[in-house]
This record gives sequence, structure tokens and C-alpha cells, in this order.
Amino acid sequence: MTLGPDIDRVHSASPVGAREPLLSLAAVTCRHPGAARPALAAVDFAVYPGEIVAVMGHSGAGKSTLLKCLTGIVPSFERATVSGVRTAFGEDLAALAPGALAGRVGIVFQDFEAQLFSTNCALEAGFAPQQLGLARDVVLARADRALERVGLAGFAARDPVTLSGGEKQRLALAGVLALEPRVLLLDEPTTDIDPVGKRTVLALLAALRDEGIGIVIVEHEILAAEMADRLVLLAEGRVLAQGPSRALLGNVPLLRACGVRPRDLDVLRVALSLRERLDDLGDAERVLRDHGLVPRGDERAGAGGPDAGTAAQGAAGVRPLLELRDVRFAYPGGAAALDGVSLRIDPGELVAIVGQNGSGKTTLAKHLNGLLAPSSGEVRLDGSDLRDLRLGTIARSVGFVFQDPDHQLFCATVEEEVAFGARHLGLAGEALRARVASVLEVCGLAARRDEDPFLLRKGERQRLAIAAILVLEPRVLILDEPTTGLDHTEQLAILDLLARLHGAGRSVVVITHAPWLVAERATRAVLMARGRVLYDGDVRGLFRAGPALAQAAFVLPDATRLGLRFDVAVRSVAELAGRIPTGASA
Amino acid sequence: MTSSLYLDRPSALRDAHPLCKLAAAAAFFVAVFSLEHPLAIAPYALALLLAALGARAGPNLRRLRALFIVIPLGTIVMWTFFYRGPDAPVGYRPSLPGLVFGLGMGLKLTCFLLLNVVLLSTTRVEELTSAFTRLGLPYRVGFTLTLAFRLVPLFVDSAATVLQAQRLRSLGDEPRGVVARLRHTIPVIIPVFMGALRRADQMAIALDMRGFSLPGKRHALLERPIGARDLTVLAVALGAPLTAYAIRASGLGLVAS
Repeated sequence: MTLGPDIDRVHSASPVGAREPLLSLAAVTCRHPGAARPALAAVDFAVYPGEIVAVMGHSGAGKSTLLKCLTGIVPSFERATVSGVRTAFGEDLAALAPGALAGRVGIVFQDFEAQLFSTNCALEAGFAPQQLGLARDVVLARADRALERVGLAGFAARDPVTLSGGEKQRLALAGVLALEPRVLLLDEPTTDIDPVGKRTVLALLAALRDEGIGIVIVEHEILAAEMADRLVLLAEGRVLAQGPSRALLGNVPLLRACGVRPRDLDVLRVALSLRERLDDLGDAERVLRDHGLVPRGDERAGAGGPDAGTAAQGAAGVRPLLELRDVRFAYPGGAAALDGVSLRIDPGELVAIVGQNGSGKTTLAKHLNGLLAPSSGEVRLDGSDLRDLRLGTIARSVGFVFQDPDHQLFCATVEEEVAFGARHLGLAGEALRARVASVLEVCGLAARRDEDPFLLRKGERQRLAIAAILVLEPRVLILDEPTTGLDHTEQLAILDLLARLHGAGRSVVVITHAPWLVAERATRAVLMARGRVLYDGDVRGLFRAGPALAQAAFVLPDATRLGLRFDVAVRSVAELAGRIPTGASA
Repeated sequence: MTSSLYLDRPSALRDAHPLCKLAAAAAFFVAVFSLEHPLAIAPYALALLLAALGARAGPNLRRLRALFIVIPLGTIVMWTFFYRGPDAPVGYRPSLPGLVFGLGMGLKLTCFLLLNVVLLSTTRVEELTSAFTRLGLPYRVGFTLTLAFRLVPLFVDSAATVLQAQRLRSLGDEPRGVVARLRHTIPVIIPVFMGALRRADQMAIALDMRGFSLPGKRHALLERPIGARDLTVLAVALGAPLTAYAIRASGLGLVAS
């Protein structure tokens, strides 16, 4: 991989000190049977007490394998050839069974739901300490404390199945925290957690570090790396660079080359050729003012009015494609998931639905395609009540892509997977081939048409899931968290695809936790909290909807927040930089 | 929404000791199993139905209503035609003894279903594990025996999501004919099966990393001593097989001898 001159100048660094590492790898190579290249190649790695190490890189870079090699899961549970020296607490890891590390090492997997198997949260959190043979009172006390630390106090009696994705992820973390381990290994522990929840979890990790626990966190998002002591960047199984997080995070080209979305403030610093560090918004505002780099306002943006070309909701003369009228819904035995929601989706919109875990986003989306029916109120498609339409009729107009692409893939090849839906439209022969070829082309999967869907990377599987729905040519496409768990390169590929579809006149509705996605890509934002719509309108208006943002605990991207300090509502770093007069000196 | 049958609703049966509930379930099973005649089995079915209602297991009875209809009805129809007793007609023709026997078998299966509903509506999986351990089984064996109760609801939930996804892709088409219907299940079975394999694999690793394979004694988190109420439940339940034995001995419990 060619990374450019800036990247080549990055020096590897490790915190070699007098302390002994808790877990370490020395020249470790790991190769799975039949793989074209090793998952890890001559990797040196160590985690020490009281530090947080962030591991980042493209999907398939070897991040999860690194964690598995550190704990002995590979090769004990996964067939692979591992060479090199691996140690755990000074002992040769190869001589230990993985279970022997329980109590000293806690690991949270990417698939956190597979870690939950108890009937309430207290029992789930208490499972691991119970295995250590601790007294019942001690186990329950540990479970209570672990639940409290992850923000699930009061959830002890709740069945884990009834929790939202983010709450389940925090419960999985509580399950290993109750072990009181010396090392914590976390594989994308915050993918399903909303921005506020993420910050809660990261604050907890910082507290654990202060207690002397060594933490390794694998993440795609930069937030974790910002509070880490060290950052390790992997690419194709090799350590591309490692060193203090603060130093590496400023290297925008390096991060992009590793599929990591850099911090807005670092991108701005590079765009403006600033020499100063911009550690936080206060720094950034001061530096910009010192240099006279004050973004200029714009009547349209500054006043929070709708963007040019943005389809304002309820525009006169526009017949809504989908419309919810005072919709209320509650799951059996549960509180109201939707509480009087009225909303319309017009042709040609790209609407982002945002809100915290459990705010009702997915429930709302499932009302748009008839998977759920309102307890009261109505949902209309082209003016017809959805209750009067067959599911097939709805599915021809409203496509829904589930969060986990693996819920819908089953064919032997990519091409067959896409063709499945088209056949139900009655297409055959040349018409079928042409439709499938066109969709594969649009989704960037034409070259992979003969491959097994299950062997694709997650980002490709996500695009395949979209293709499988697109082939039905729905007029509106709804996607539930389409960028979750993807590296930034994959996220951009998905978003570029959605932009093309939107550009071609299709309505797109995206449910997301990613503030930058809303700011940069949506034409309209719907902000939800506790089953209610708090804001519904153009994106720049959302930036200035202070009380609603506070109520929904929604955090805007740094570029937007910095712009607002100058009373300018910007959607991206590029827009912010573009509003700064070029004559000013850095 | 959960597919697990456990309902955390206060009731005497929910609060009974799991070991006693397990013993009571075994006692009822033996009693019902030993009888054939519907009139002999009917009181047990009624008792179990009352137990289910007393345990506030109504939601589970509603959820499983299809099973409560299809299984007994199918059994009755089958035995009405295929019963081969001393007083049955030659050939596969409907007969009264067949109908009576079928009614008995249908009630018997209904009892077994009710037994499971009562037990699983009022007993956590962890309590069953604990009960098995109290019976002398090693903890790991007890846990593994109850693993199905933990996993089945998860797979059912996963299957429901997959079904939703595939119905949208196939435009809700319902195929005609057995072969077409079987082929129609493939888009659901494969993702569920693949997901189940992945999950089972991950779960095994997660269990090990959380100390499941460590040797030594575990203290049950829901453990409590057996009280007077538990012994009462047990005494009542033990009356069931004794009564069944008496009915059978009197010759009233069987369809034909």
C-alpha cells in the first residue's frame, strides 16, 4: 500500500518502561487456513497496567484477530497457525487454556448479543463472578456495581432481550467488568450506542484506566482513540504505525489511509495549514480568531433557513409519498414506543432519523413499510392507508434494509442474491439479467457477482443487502443504521451510493447515530426522543434547535459546533474552511 | 418483546422452590403418562389448566394456542382412523374406541404442553440449572441441559427478523404447493442457521472467557431453602401419580385391556 511521504515519516513507538506488560505479542504471525495472506504478520504489541491502547484500521486489517491472539482464542477456538511469542502476565500463553485467563482478562466481542444468555441483567452481570466460585453476596454486589458503572442501574430485573442494542452492548461490558479483570479487551464496544452513551462508556474506561486496568479497544470511530494513551494502526495484518494517540491523531492522511475518519478539527487544521494544535473547540476558536480566520456568515445558512434544493417538509402542492398521522404504538407489555408521531416523506428527500437508543427510530421505520401497525393513528402510502394494502404492494414502493445484512443473505452468489427479489417481480431472461446487472453496477458489486455473499466484507455485504432491495425499484428506501460497524472507507462507499440514488430522484430515509452523516448528507432531519418527534425540518435548522438537541442529548459534529461559535451553521469541515476568507494568514 | 416463556409475575408457583417444581412436574408427567382414558386424564388437564391460570401464564397460553389446537386435534383424528385395539374394526376406518383413545392421547399431549407452560412460565432457566445441580448433576452438565431453553427464544427472535426481511424481498408472495412452500423456507432457514452457528460459536468462546470451564463449586444466585409452602406443593403433586395408580388399578384408566 502506498501511503505517501507524510505517512512514511511516521515512526513506530511503544511505551517501553520498567513495567511488565500484562499481555504481549512479539513477532506474532497468524494465518487462517486457505487465507491469501496472514491475518497478522510479525506483529509486536503490548498492553501495560493503567493505559488505554486504541487499535484502528480498515475492516479486515487484523484488529479482531489481534485481540484473539492476545487471549489465546486463536488458535484454541479458531483454526489458525500462530507463530511468535505470546505472553499473559509473564507466562507463555501457548501453555495456558483460554479459560485460565478468566478473572484476569475480560473481553467484549463485536457480536455482543452472543455474550448474553441470562434471563435478567443482574444474573447476566453476575454470571462471570459466579464462575469464579465467589460467595453469592459478593457476586450480586459485583453485578450491581458493574451495572451501575455502565449506566444500567435500575435494570437489574430487566430481561436482556427487551433492551435496545446500545443497552445490550453496555450489559455485555458489565458482564466482564464484574470479573474485575486486570485487562479489558473490547472489540468495537460502542457500535450500537448513541453518542451520549458512547461518551458515558468512554468516561468509564478512563476511570478504569485510573484504577490501573490495562485496556485495549478496537474501534472504527475516532472518539475512543482521542482518550487513548496509545494508538496502533493496522493495515493488512501489519502494524503501520503506533505511538502516542495525540501525535498520530493529527496525521490526517495516515488515518484516512487506514480507513479512519479523522477529527474535524485536525481536518480543518490541515485545510487551513495551521501549525497550532486544535485539541478542542476552545482551542480552535481562539486560534481562528488570533489568525483572523473568521468564517463569514451567509443569509441562508446563518439564519437557519432551508438549503437551496432541499425539499422542505410539507411543501405546497407536493403529495407525500408516505405520511404518518398521530401514530401511537406500544409493544406488548411495554411503554409507548411511538407517542403521537406525525411525519411525511416527500419524493426526492434524503431524511435522517436520529435520536438516542430506545427513542423509537426503528419502530417508526417499521411503521413506514407495514411491518408494524399503529395502535392508533394511520400510515398512508400515496394516500392509501397501509392497513388496506398487501405487504407485497407496500414492498414494491417502500424498500427496507435491516441493520444486519446477514439477516437477508442466503444465496450462493452475489448475482443470485440480487436476482431473488427481481424474480418475484415476474422478471426473467434478459430483463432479469439487465435489471440485476444495472443494480450490481450502481452498488459497485459488478466485479464480485460470482462470489459467495458470506465471504464478502461487512461493507460489501451491506451494499449487497441494499442491492437486493434496490432491484425491486422501490420509490423510497429505508435503511436502519447502514454505516454501523463499518470503517470510514466503507461508510463513504455506502453514503456515496445513497447520494447517487437520491440524486436519481429516489427518496431515502436513514436511521443513524452518526451526527456527521446527518450534517453532511441529509436534506432533512427528524430528531426523536422517547417516542416523540422533537424536531423535523431542514438540517441547518436542527443545528440551531438548542432545546430539542439538549432534550434528545444529540451532539452535533465538531465542525458544526465550531461554526456556531461564529454564528455560522455549517454542515462540514469543507464548508467551514470554504467560508473563511482566503486572504487571512495562518 | 421476548420469545422466552418465563413471565416474571408474582404467583405461588413462581415463588415455589425450583426443585419442588421440577419434582411436581415429574410427578404429573408420570401420572398422566400412565393413563389412557380421557375421563381419567381430564381432571389432570383441568388441574394443570387451573395451575397455569393461577401462575398467570395466560399470555403464554395465548401465544401457544395454535399448538393447543393442532396437536390434540391431529392426534384425535389420527387415532380415530389408525387405532388398533381388540375391539377396533379391520382396516383404516374410523371407530369409537379409536376416537376415545385419540381423545385420551390428545388430552395427554395437552397435559404435557400445559406442564411445560406452567414450569417455564414460572421458573427461570437459571433456577432449572440450579435445581439440576441440587439433584447432583455437575454444574456444567446442568447448564448445558438448560442451554436449549436459553437459545431457542433467541433463535425464534432471529427467525422472526429474518422472516420480516425475506417477506419484504419476496413481496409477501405465498407460494402454492408443497415443493414451492419448502423452497420458500430456504431464504429463512439459511440466514437463521448461519446466524445460529455463528452465535453458538461465539457463545462457547464467551462462556469460556467468563470462566465457565474453571473448576470448583458455584454458588447459585437464586438459591434459597425449601420451605413449608414448597413441601405443600410437592405433597399435592405427589398425590397425582398415586391417584393415577389407584385409577389404573381399578381398571378405569385404560381404554381397553
